[in-house]
Amino acid sequence: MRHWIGRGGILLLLGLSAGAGAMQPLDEAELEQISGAGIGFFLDDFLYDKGEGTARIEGFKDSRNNPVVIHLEDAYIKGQGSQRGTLDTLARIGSPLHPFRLGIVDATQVASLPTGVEALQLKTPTWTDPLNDTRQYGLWAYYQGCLFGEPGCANPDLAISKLNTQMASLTARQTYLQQRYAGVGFQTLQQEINADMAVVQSRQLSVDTANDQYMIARNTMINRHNAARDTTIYPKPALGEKYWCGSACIYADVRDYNASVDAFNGKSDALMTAYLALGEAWQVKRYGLTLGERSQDYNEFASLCGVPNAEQPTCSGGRITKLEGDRASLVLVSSSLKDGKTRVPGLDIGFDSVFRVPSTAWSGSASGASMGATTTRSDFFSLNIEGFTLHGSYLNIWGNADGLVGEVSMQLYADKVIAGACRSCTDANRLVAKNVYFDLNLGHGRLQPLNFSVMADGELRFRLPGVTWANHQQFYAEVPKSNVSVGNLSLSNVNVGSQAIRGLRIDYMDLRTVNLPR
Amino acid sequence: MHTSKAGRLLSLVCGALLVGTSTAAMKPLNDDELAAVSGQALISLDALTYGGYQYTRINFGADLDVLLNMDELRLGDFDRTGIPGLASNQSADILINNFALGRVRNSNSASAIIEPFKVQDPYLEFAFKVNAQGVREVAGMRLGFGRSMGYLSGDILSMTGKMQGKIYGPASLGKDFYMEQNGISDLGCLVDINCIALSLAGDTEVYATVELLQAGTGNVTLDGVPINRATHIGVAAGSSLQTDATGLIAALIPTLTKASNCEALGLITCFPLSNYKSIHVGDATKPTIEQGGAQGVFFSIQNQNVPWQDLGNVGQFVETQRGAFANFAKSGSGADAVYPFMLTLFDALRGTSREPTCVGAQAVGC
Repeated sequence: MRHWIGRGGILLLLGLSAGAGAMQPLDEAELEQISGAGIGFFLDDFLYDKGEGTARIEGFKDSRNNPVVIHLEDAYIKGQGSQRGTLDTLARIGSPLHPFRLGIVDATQVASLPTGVEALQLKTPTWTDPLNDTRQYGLWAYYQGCLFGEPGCANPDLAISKLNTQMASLTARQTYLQQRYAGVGFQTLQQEINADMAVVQSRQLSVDTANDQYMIARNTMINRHNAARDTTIYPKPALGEKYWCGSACIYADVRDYNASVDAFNGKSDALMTAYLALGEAWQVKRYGLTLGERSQDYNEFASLCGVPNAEQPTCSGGRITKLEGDRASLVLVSSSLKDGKTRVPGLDIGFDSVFRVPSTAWSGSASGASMGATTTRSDFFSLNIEGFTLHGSYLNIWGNADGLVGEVSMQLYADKVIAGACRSCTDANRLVAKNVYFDLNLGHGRLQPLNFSVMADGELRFRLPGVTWANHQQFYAEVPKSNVSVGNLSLSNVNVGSQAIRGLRIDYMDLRTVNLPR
Repeated sequence: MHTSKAGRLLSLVCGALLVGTSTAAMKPLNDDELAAVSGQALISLDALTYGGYQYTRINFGADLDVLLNMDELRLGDFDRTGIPGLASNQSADILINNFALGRVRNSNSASAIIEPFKVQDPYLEFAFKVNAQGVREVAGMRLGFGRSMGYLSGDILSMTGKMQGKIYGPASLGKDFYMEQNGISDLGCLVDINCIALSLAGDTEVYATVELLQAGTGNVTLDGVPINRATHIGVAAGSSLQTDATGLIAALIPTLTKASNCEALGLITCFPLSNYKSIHVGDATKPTIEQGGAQGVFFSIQNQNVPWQDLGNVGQFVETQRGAFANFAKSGSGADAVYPFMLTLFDALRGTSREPTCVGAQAVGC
């Protein structure tokens, strides 16, 4: 028995401030005053429970083109605390004060949009307090690792301690590098590196050229070796060694091969000479340090503290500055938790599924397994998400000469994501990810609009234009990075720790879907 | 007029949808055309069993060209105290700073050109195992690429898994490096047994497979299991330089160059992973990903020694261990082997500098 209950609300957004909490009908005169800021909506006290009903998803295939049908069972969307859908906890998405917003925005409201463009914007409920600002809470949750409130996870400052440990190791490297180049200065260091690198680049070109010639000579020698005779009088020598007759051989194939060995040895010597010259360029020392060492140190410092802007620079960017900013967020979240504040409850979402898929049996050693029979296997897969929120996400889309373009920011957080392969079991048999945070940012209206199109053959295409010489400074300053983190992951009760992708920026992308099998 | 924005909103929605579909003119198919549809799909599922494990793989049909930069990739960050195979004091199984895929040619000039990293048909796979109580448990998952090709850069601080490259070049390079490292003159080379051996090898092309190993010892296993959290790569202890050439010197090379305690003939054979700032995944001499793409590259995480099917080598499975794991293993064998990355002997001895991954003066961290 499936059921869906709930109530919702739609707001005409007037300015989205006072009075939105209490809904009252507007009269004609009031309607005339509406400025048209868009539509706001929220869902209040609802739940969806598929109960014992089932649904089928068709259209999947295996690699041999056999159909795979997925049956969905026990799907639900309920309020946080529903105990995986077993309780009818009512859910709420947004509120009159924090609704979804659908409206038109332009560059005066969204700085990333091109001037003159009006975009359709869908924005999820947004909060600015530390616990409900997904960026701040998601960051804290990653460092915290454990799910706050669970046994052994009552100290919200654990996150700050972990960040401090990381910071200590980074600042130790910063101090080491600053002391190493205290008598030189980082701007001087850079100038000297640039001067020395000019020689490296020139010699690298020589190596590339010599390497090309070496490969040509080698291929020629191999081909002539293959073609050369192997007789009693002229036994074929090993590749690289010459026939006994040297340059006075009667037969052209033998002579040619011998000549190719000489040519190969010459090119090999030339390559070696070029390599050595390149090596010497990298070994150029100043104050006892090779170019390679100096270059590596400079890049490490720039990564830690940003590109040096003085001889004795302080950290003006880079990972240390970013970490300091992160710490400020962590302190805010931790303080709020210690004050007894709580997050707006999220959603519990889940489903079970069963499907039959052709399965091939392999056996034998890992280095020489043999393929056995293919039989049909019945698989069970369940997914449950607890405390899911998407606060602060937005999608802006508009059209231009390239088609549909846009920019999207997804702020997804869940206390737990549980994936299972067993119907009657516990979390000790499942994948359990805690403090799961996806901060996904794709596209930037002015600098890198995300383009979506359908190709003539029906395939989908997503493109992010590449960073260019003309816009690279703005690009790196303004196009947002993405982060993905899991505070803790366990697989069938075995801890495999935290996982993180930090500071990911896609500088160029062209993604085309392809039908399978190819 | 209070309807103007609502009207524009509607027109924007419709306009956007129309624009989005305008590149393909959609027409209904008749029965004959429908009958000819082959039933291809963007997503396909595969399943197999091996060694007591069940696997379900979700394949995504896609061609992806990408240039990306990442501040940090950190996988499998947990306490390994008491777990065998630990080769360093690193905190995570895989830890790479300034990770990047793809490169920028002429990066610091107006003619900067992006050379993307190419990926074909990524997939997500789960491994399951029925435990002693008869319960089917999740044992691991992996993200892999059907094929991949291009430059991979980063400061690799810790690596767990398989990372097999091939180093190659004339043995004479080794002699010159040896002389330089040991301050030996041409005259001195005449009385140094290692130098003499390397001199005799001349321009004989030598090669070796390099793999993850423990710094100082060159061991690839510890406590009877493959090492984890490696910080070094090189010629494993007991392995040696090889050559396809024949003759006396060629025959001696494998014996003379057998690595022990990270040295062979006085040459260093273990190198910090952080020295390899950029590697080329796939065969750089091939023009397309179909011809030169590395197969079998994946990142996995598992709770035990899950053997994942090696999609680059039919009939083989990649043995993993608890935690995060990256597979950049060679495919094929002998002369047909394709290595995920290849280095000249020179690069292996000295390390490889980072290929630019940012446009402009900034080399990393963009």
